[in-house]
Amino acid sequence: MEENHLDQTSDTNEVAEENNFLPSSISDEEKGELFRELTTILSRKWIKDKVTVFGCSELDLLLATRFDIQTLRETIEEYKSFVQILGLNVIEYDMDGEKWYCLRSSNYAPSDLQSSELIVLGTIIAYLEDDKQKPITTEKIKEKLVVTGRMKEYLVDNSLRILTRLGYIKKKQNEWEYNYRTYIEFGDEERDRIVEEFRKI
Amino acid sequence: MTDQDILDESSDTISAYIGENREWVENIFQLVFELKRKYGKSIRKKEIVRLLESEEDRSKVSDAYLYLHNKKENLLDSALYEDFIEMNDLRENDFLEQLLYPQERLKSFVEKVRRLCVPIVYLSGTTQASYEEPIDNLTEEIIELESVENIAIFMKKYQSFLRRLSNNFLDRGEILNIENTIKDKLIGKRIKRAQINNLLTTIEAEILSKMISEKKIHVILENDVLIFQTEIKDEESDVVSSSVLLSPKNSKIERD
Repeated sequence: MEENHLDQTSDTNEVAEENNFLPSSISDEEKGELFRELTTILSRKWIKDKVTVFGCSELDLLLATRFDIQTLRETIEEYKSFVQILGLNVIEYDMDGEKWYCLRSSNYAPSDLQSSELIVLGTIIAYLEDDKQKPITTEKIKEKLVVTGRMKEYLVDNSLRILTRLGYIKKKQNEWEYNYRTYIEFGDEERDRIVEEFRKI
Repeated sequence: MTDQDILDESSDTISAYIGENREWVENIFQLVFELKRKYGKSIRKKEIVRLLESEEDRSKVSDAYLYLHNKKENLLDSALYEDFIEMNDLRENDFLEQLLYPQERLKSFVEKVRRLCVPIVYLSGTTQASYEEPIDNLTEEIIELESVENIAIFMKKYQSFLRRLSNNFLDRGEILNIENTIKDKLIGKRIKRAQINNLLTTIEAEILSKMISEKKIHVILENDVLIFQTEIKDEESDVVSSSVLLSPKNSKIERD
C-alpha cells in the first residue's frame, strides 16, 4: 500500500515538472485569486447522502485545480498560514476513506446546535467515552433523559435526527457512533471534560 | 522543664520505641499506601467516598506522622492528606449540586458542552465565487501589431478571453428546461410589469418572448398587471398580445 503511494507521488512529480503549475511559478495575483476561491470552496456547506458536509474532498480539489497532489498540498500548506491570520484553521478530516478539507475557527464561533441537541450529543459523547466497548442505543439515551423526566421523548428523537443530518453521529446496526464532525469539533480533551460534566446531571 | 521539653522527651521515647518495633512502621506505611491508592483512584474516577468511611480512614492514619521518618514515607503521608481534602471538596460540591433543580443542572451541562465545542466555519449564501462578466465593462484599446506572427502570438496569449466572449448555444433539452422554469415562475400568476424585469434572466426573457410568439404562453395585460396563461378563453382572445417588451435585471448566473 505504502509502496503504491510512493510510486504515485514520484509519477506526479514528473508531471509537475512538465506543467508550469508549481507554486513558485504562480504569480501573486493568481495566488490571490486561488486563495479567494479556496476560501469559497472550503467554507461551503452542502448535503451529501443526506448528511451535511463541509468544504471539499482532496480529489475534487485536484480535479478543479488540475494540480498534482504534491503541488496541491504545498498550496494548502501556504493557504493555512494565510487563513491563520484571520483566526481560521484548515482542518483535514476523513470521510469514507477520502481526505476532506474544511475551515474551523481557532477560538470560538457560534455553534449550529440548539440546547436539546447539545444535551443529546453530550449524553452520547459521555456514554461513548466512558466505555467504548458498550453499545449505545436510542433506548439507553432515552432511559437517561426521558425516563428521568429531563426531556420529552419527541425532543430526543428530533435531536437525534438533526444530529445525524448535521454529521455529528451515525447509526450502525441500531447503535450510535461518532460521525466525522464530532471529531472535528470536540477534541479528545474536550470529550473527557464532557464525561466529567455529564456525571453532574 | 518547659512544655516543649516534655514534648521532645516524649517524642524521643516514642522514636526509641519505634526503633525497636520496625515492623509496626512497615504496617503503618502499608496502610497509608493502600489508602492513598484508594483515594487516588476514587478522585480520578470522581467517585465519592462517604463521609463516615472517610473519617474512619483519616483517624486510622492520624498518628502516622509519628512513625514515618523517611522522606519518601512523609511525602506519601502528605499526599494522602491532600487527597482527603480533595475528596471533601468533591463531596461538598456534589452535595451542593444535588440541591440544584435537575433543569438547572441540565442547563449548565448545555453551556459546558457549548463552550467545549469549536465549530466548523461555513459561510451561508451562494457557493459560487462571483465574477464579473467581461461584457459588462468592456473597454476598447488599440493594439498595434506589426506582423501576422505577432497577431498569432497575441491570439494565443488571450485565447481564454476570446473563448469567454463566444456565443453559448443551448441545445433542445436546455431550452425545454428553461421553458419549464419560466412556466413554474409565471403561469397562473398576476405580476406587475415593473416586477417582471427582476424575475427573469436575459436568456429566460428571450425564451419567454419565443414562447409567446409560438403561442405556448398567452399574456393578458390588465391595468399594468400581466397575467400569464397556457390556455385562453375565447372571449379574451381579442386582447392577447403577441410580444412582450422586457429589460431583465436578474443577473443570476446560468449554469451551462
